[in-house]
Amino acid sequence: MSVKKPAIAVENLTFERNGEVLFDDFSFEIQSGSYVAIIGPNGGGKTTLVRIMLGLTKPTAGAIRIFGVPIDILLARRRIGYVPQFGGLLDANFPATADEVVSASRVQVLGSWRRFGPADAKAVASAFKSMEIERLRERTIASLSGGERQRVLLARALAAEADILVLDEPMGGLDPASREDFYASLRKLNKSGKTILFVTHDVHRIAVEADSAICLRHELVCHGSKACLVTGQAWRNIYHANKAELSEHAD
Amino acid sequence: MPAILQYDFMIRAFEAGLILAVLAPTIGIFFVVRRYSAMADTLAHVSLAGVAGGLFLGISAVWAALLACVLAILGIEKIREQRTLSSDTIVSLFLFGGLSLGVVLIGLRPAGGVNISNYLFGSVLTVTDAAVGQIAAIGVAAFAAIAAIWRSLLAVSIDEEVARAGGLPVRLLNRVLAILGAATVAISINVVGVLLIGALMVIPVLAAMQFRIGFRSTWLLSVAVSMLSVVCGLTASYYLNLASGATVVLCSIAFFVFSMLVSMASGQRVNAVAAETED
Repeated sequence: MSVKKPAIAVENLTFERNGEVLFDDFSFEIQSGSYVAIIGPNGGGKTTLVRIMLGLTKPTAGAIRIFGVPIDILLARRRIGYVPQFGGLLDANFPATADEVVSASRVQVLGSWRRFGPADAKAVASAFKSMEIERLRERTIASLSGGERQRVLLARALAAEADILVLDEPMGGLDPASREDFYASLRKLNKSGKTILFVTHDVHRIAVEADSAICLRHELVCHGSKACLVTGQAWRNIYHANKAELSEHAD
Repeated sequence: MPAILQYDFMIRAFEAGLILAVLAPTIGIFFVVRRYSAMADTLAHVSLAGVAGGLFLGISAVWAALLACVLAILGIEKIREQRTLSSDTIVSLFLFGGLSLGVVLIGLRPAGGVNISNYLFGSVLTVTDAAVGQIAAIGVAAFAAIAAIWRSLLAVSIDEEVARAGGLPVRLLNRVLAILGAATVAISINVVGVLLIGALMVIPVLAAMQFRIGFRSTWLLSVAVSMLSVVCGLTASYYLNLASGATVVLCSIAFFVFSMLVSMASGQRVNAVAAETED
C-alpha cells in the first residue's frame, strides 16, 4: 500500500542570517488539501519561511520536499503557485492585459522553448473561469482595482497548474468587500483540492477560514491544530500581546 | 523616384535603419518594463571601448563592440552576485569605465584614418553592402532568439520572484536578454551610433506606453514609432544636411511628446465623460 506523501514536508530546518539563528532545527508537514494559516509578528520569520519553502532562499540546514520531491528539483517547484504581497513586484502600470499576465505563467508548464498551444489556451481560460473574472481578460493591469488584480494573480497561479498556493499577505490594502471575494475564491479552490498556505496578520478572519496553523516567532510556536489562533495564551506566546489588543490592529 | 532613393548609400541606410528600428524596441521593451533602461546606455558606452579597441587592434568594430559588451555583461553579473554594490552603482561603474577606456584607446591610435565620431553618432555614408548584410544576419538571429523566449522574458518581467519560484532560469534569461541588447548596440554603430542607440531602444517604447495598452500592442506600436522615426529622421537628415543618428533620435522624441499629449488629451476626455456620467 502506498503512503500518501505530504504536500509540503519541512525537515530539520535551520536558518541563520548574519550569524543570527532565525530557525533552529524544526520540522513539520502540511497535508494535501489543507488550508494553513501562517501567522506571527513582523520579523518573526513568516516571509523567510515562505521563501525557503518556495526555493527562493537556501536554508542553512534541512530540506523541503514537495509531494516527496526536493524543492531544488524543477518538478517540485512547478507544483507551487506563489501569490506575493499585495502590490508585490508587479508594477501596477506594467503594460500588459490580464490575459497576457495569466498566459505568461504557462511557461512554468511548457518550459522556455515549447510553443503555446490549444491546451495552454484552455488552461488559461479555465483559470479565468475559476476566478470568475472572464470579463477582465482584455483589461490592462493598470485599469484593474486592487481586488481584481489579486484575483488575476491567483488565476496566474492556477493557469500554471499549481497544486499548492502560497499567498504572502495578499490582501493588505484591499477593501472589505474585495477581501471577502478573495476569501470566497480561496475557499472554492481549497474545496477543489488545492493546498493553501496563507500568510497574514488578519488572525481573527483566518481563524474562520483555515483548518490548521503554523505560528512563528523565530521558532515554531505551534503547528497543526488552529487552536493557537483561537486561544488567548497562544496569542500571548506569538505576539506578546493579548487577543483584544490584536483584534484592534489586525489588517 | 524621389531623389533620396537615387543614391545607393541612402537605400542602404534605410535598409539598415529599418532592421534596427524593428530590433531596438523589441529588445528595449524588456529593458524599459524592468526599469533597466540604464543597461542600454551602459552597453552603448562599453561598446565604444570595444570599437576603439577594435580600431586599435585592426579588427572589425562590430565584433569588437559585441565582445566588449558581452565581457561587460558577465562582469556586471559577477559583481552583482557579490551583493556588495547596488545594481545602479555597478551599471554606472561600467558606463563611465567603458566611455573612459574608449576615449583613452582612441587617443592612443595614430592620427588620421577613421573618424571616431562616425561610430559615436552614426554616419549613413559608412554603411556598406557588407555592413547591411551583417546587420541583417545578426538582426534576424537576435529577433528569432527573442521570439523563442518571448513568453519566458515576459513572465520574468512581470514578476522575477514568481518566475524564479516557478522554476524559470531567470539568471540565464537575463543574460540572454543583455547579450541580445549588446548585439543590437553593436550592429547600430554605423547607422545611429553607439551613443544614440540606447535612445532608439527606449524612447519608442516610452511613446507606446503612454497609451496604456497590452504588452503585445505596446510592442507593435513601439516598432511602428521606431520605424517612422528612422524613415523621418533619415529623410530629414538627407534634405536638411543633418547628422543622421541624432535626427532619428530627435524624431523619436517628437513622437514621444506627441503620444504624451494625445494620451493626456484622451485621459482628460475620459475624465470629463466620467464626470458627466456621475452628474
